Amino acid sequence: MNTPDLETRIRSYYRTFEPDDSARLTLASARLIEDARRPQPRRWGLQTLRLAATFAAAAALLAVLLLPRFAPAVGPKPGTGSPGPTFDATAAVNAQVDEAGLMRSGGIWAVQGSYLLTSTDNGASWRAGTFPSPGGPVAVESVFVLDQDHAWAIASTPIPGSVPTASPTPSGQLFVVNRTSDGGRTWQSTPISGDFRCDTATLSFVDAAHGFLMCSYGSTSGPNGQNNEVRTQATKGAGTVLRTDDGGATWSVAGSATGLGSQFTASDASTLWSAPDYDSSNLTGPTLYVSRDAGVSWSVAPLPELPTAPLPGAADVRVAAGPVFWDASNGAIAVSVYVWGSSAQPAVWFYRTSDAGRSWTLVKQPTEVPAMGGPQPVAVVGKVWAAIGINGNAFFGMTESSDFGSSWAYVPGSGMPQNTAFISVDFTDKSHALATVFSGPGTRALMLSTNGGRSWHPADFGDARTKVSSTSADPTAAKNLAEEFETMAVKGPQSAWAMLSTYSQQTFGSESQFATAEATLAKSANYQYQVGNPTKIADLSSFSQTLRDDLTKSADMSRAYVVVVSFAGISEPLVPSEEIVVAPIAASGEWRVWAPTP
Amino acid sequence: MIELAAVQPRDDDRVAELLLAGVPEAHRLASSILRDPIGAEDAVQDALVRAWSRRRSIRFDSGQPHRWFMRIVVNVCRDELRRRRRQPVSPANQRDEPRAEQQADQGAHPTAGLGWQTAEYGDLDRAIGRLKEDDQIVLGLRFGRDLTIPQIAAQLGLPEGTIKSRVHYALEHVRAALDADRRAEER
Repeated sequence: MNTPDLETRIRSYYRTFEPDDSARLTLASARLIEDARRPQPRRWGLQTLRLAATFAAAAALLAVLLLPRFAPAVGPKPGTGSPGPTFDATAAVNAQVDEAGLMRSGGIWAVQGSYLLTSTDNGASWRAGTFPSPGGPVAVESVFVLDQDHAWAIASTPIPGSVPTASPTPSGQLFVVNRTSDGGRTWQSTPISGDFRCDTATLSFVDAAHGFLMCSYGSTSGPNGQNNEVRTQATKGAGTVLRTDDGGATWSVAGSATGLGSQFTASDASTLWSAPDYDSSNLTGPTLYVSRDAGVSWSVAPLPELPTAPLPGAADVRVAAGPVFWDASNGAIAVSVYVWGSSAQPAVWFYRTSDAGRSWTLVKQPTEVPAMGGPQPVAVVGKVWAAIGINGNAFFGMTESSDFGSSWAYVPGSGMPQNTAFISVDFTDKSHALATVFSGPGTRALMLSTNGGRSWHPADFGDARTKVSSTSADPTAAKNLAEEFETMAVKGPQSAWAMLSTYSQQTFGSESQFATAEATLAKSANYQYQVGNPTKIADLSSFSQTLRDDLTKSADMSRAYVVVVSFAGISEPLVPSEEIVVAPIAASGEWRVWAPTP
Repeated sequence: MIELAAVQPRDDDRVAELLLAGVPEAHRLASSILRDPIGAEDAVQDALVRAWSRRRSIRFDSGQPHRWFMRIVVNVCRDELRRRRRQPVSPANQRDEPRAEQQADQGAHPTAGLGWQTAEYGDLDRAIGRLKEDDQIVLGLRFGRDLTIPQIAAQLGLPEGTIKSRVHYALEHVRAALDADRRAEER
């Protein structure tokens, strides 16, 4: 079939999906928005003020609307016949994450909207701090968590249409690196500028002081696209390495090279590894680059038997895991190779080194991996352990090797949501695994296993998030927390309940009473859930005794929720304006009331 | 000064107006990307909720507030495609119950949303379903919405060259898959 014919046929095919009309959808959408706007401010008796209720009512508005549609998607469904627990959808609501992985020092980290969560006991207990997301769950561009105190983050601007944080402009300010040394209680920012291009930024730190940032951009295809004929006209991607020796406060360019890509890790303070990303690999060939002088100069680290550039038009070759080094000389790396086509099988190739990566040897490939349209998530844990998550029509389990590739065994798993698969998988040790999976429309959950992936359960962050305190010096963090709560409440009222303070829960009595109260309040309330950008901190003492008493009674001082209340129409003489943002601060037990200046 | 401008009722009116005006186009856009008008309704509603909760980020002065909403629609669709990729399309698991009901309601248009089932386009459906999400998106915009390369580039906020090569690449994949399909049948 020639091109015009194919395009014509594709057009006709797409015609079959043209909706008949959108009247029904428009009507439903109008209701959705109307409902979201319903709690219009009215006169408000202060004596009935309950902050928690206010908060909950507003959160419930969207939650109530969404839940009936959301619940079936995550609801427990019968397993596929494998023994063991079925997926706990309720628990998974609280296990939603944007991103999760291993801390360099060991242990697990997760980013959940405006929270950074860490655990050093395989998920039994968690510590929470704030995360500098620009509001709500966002695409995380790059996070590196060294230990429970030290983390760095480049959060991409998630909101379409707004100004991107990392822009592909050739000069000027490129992005901001955020850093914390107190587990997310406070964050500091350093803007990075320079005359290098940075489409993707990837962080890697070896200790609290020494770290690297790979700024890279991918290859671009030749004038006629990514076909073999014009591949030689492609422009190779490249990377620029920045380094810091003061924990990220200041950065300087160490070096740059053509071919470097966003797959980047520092194995020690002078040895860096980089591989091109997917598109670049296809155009320029799968290559692992190494620098042994902290990013100044780069050379190719040979991985034998990989296809050489240029690859067939439809192929996917990338570093899937590692390199991981368990001592100065010994390490491993996994490369996933997937050549697209009817008979193609995705495969994972494991390489080992015993000379600090100067030479690599291909070890036996597992044969139990079924072909399923793409590369599999891979974990390389140490000298004897490797695993591959198997995707499929449903969650199938993993293929694991406990002798690093000499022999492989299929390990069926249970407890995962049906019709899903790993997004990522990793191990803290042979028994303890973590995985991120899709748990509902557009949501990911962090799942944990204590038996090497045989059974899985959603992570339980406990009350860690309620203990987050945001300092008065950081109104942005407070605002982010408020926005995050709003979003969480939208995703599931269970989480709204779970995150209420003890005081608030006692006030309501039970989750069902909470739900009833929410519904009632949603109909009659005269307040509105809003998030402002507080710039002025007002002293509680400037409010009337009535208001002060009410505020004090209505919330648990040890909690750090941010509550935004609209006071429109109130005749309270000492309330300075219409909107007030209230955030109890855990550490000091005092209220901060941010009020707008008129 | 506090920045509450975007959540004032007056602006909420503007946002609501903007979003509602965009629903029919959002529906067509999502249908083209997901190749599923019914699933597209869910996607549009998800996008509305997402857009409403982020309405503070709308820049009316950007001149392109409409595009802001459409990008959210595209992002929601990308998430959905990604989810479906993990849950490959087959008649058995294509739809959960509520959707099947809606479909019965629709009735009038027997092929709507059933392109994957029709023998006529079965091969295309499989081929496009196996593309990467972003390739499916550009194909939907190019051949479903009939947008030009510059229009797609503007909509997605990507360079024209990227779109051009992505369309080309996606078509090449589709062609290769169709060829493979045909060879398999001939055997």
